[in-house]
Amino acid sequence: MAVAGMDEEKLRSAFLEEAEDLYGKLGESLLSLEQNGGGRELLNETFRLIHSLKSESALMGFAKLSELAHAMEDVFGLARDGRVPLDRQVMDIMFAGADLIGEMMGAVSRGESDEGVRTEEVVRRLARVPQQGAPEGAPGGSPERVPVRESPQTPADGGLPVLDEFEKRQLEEALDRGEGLYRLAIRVDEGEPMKFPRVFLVFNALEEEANVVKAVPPMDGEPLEDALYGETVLYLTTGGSEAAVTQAACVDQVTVLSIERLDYRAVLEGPPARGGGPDAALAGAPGEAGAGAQPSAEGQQKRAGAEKTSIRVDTRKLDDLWRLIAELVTRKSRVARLSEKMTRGGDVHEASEELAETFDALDKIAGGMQQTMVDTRMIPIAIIFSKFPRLVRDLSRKLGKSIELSIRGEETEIDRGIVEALSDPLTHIIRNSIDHGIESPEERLRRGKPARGRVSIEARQQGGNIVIEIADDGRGIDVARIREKAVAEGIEGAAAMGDAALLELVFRPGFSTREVVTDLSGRGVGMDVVATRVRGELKGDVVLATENGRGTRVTLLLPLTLTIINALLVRGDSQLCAIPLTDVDSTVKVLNTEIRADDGREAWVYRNEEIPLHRLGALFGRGRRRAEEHFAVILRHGDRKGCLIVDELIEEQEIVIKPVDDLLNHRRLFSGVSLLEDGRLVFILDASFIRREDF
Amino acid sequence: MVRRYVSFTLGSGRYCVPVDEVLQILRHENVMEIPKAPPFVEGVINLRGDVVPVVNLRERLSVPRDAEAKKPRIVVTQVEGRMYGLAVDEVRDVVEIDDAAVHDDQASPFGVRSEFIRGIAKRGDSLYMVLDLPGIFRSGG
Repeated sequence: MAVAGMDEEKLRSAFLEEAEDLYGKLGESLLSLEQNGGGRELLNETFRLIHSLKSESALMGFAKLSELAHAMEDVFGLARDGRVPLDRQVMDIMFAGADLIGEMMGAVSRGESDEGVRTEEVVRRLARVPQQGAPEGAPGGSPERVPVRESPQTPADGGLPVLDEFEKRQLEEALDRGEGLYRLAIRVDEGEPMKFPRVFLVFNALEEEANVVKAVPPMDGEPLEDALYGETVLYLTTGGSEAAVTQAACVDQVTVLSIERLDYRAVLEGPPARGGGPDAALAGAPGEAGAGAQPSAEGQQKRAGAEKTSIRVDTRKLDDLWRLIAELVTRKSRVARLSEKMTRGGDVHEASEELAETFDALDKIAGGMQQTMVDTRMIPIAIIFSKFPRLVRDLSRKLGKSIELSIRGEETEIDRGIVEALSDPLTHIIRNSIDHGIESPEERLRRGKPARGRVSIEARQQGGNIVIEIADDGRGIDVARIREKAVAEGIEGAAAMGDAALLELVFRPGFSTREVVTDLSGRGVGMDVVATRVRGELKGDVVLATENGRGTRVTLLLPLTLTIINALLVRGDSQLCAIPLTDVDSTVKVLNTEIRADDGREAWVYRNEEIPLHRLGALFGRGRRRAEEHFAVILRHGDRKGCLIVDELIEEQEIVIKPVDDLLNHRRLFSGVSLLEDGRLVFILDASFIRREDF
Repeated sequence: MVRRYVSFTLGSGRYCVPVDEVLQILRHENVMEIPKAPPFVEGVINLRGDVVPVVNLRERLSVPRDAEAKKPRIVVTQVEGRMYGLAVDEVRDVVEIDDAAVHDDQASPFGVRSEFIRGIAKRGDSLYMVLDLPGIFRSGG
């Protein structure tokens, strides 16, 4: 993890990214361990995950986090060796541990330390696991193998590795053999696209000469993201010489940054705290380890950077962006040439044609860049879907139901902002399905259904929308009962409502959650919140479909991305209007004396420039205001300018664009509409009208 | 086949649309006027964050205004995936009408343009005009 040149904040967010990945996978492994029992491979995988989590967090100095991970690792180690059964009881402790890890990561991501989370109880229970009796098949769970709870690990100073028991034992043995302990830092050439294989070559070559105890990033198990291996630190023991090690590390495209002999005692006793941060690991700082200890948690808490700010971006998207920038640079030089040509007195007509063409090209490039940036905001929805297996497991267990969950389309990409806001509503819908939709196994059997209920979650892209469907084969919703209730409550037009309209009532806040909905299916509880979030905040829609006794399907329709623009809010007559800032050149004051009228068309004459003039009030239909001077917005679209007189300049604001119906836009003056927070309607002006003949 | 229709009135005339096309029925209030819109476009309503155009059915069908509506309503409908409101005088009830009872070869006794009317249904003594919503919400005209 220690990579030269990274400051602590970056390191921390790199850690979080890595740790979240590991944590997610750990959750999946735990679930399948529970469902499918502990196959050797799965156990190894789980062990590796928790091991990595432990090492990563220890390296970052999160003592409590690494302590807990360590305790879990110990139990998995025992389970792997067949010394401890992974029974329900043990798995429950593991799940509890995983939850705490999640909590601590949450704290870390908020910029807090991991110390506020109470892990003691779980750690104690984990420590007791070995005593709970070895399985019959494996005699002799020797008392020495009982995991030793170390005092919380000293946070890494970065200069020294944090070792687990196995690695420590290796070191002790090497010490006995009289071998030397070295830290070797290597760098793979930046241009090399496949870094891990290069490092692996070194690793292999070294294994001939030495025993590699530890690698950062880790070399065992599945490799991490390739780019992380750009600089790798290897800890190794060898009876041979430094030179032999350096020699072995001589692989094409790999540079040895430093090799340095370490003191066994310092490493075995755990890394003492030392200033300088993790960077020191690669800086090849001389071995003055142990000097100047300082409380470690201090630096920890001072680290800024609350939310996770870094993202992973598909390199292809970056390539796209790069290609566009290259094009931009070319076009830019063309503009420079043109301008030079014009100053030298070239043919104006020819130049203006060329200019228009260049503008078109630049327009395309800008559009392309915008799209690419939008794309980089897209992340797979798996990020939220991945927590549902656990949710379903926990809930069904709690409620004594048996449920099979199927998830499809988790690779579907959706805007980052939407994903975050979607987590709660989806969780709520699934909770409802399990809690109120799916019947108990006995009831299902009575109704001639399989005892095991089904819940499916599916995401897919459909045109400009993302569709997410959550369906269950539970008892469904009795629409007739909703109608009765709605009529009884005196809801307007209830008797005349179709099924869709009746189901829509479920989204209404406070609609008779007790009598109708709870004893039918409970879907009223909080569905209004789901609707508010999805329809209001996310500008999407939610639709409920049900078949009495057969199941319910909730369909969410979401925009691929929230189209938000910065716009200048103005008023013309009584109507508000938003002008995208990209179309605004400037705002000015226009005097009546500067307005020239000619054949029904007006123009603003200013500094020898004549700009066609429009009046927003008139565009919206009413008469013109009598005044000596007016506020105006100079619009710019392509090579044209237009002066738009408004009655009031209000403010700049971010607005969400919604499509405008043709009925409201018969002059094609608007590109959309938007609703302000106070419910007022705003038309979004399409500035291209200034190029049109009919204006 | 017998279908269910939501019926409503403009003055003494009875009109209906299929229940399946109706999303909800609202009180006629909070309609925001749209400047320079065609006269039959009464304005828009804000329906849970959606901007829904409201068409004044009287204007659209050129039915003269006789008396003040006592219980004016907006019938929110969904047509081709879009929502539109229909301002009517009063919502009556849900009626069942057999397809066979809908005649589309008859001229409208109210002088209504046929592009807005799918047909006329006779039910007992009453005549119902079955509206053609896509036609009504088409811009222009």
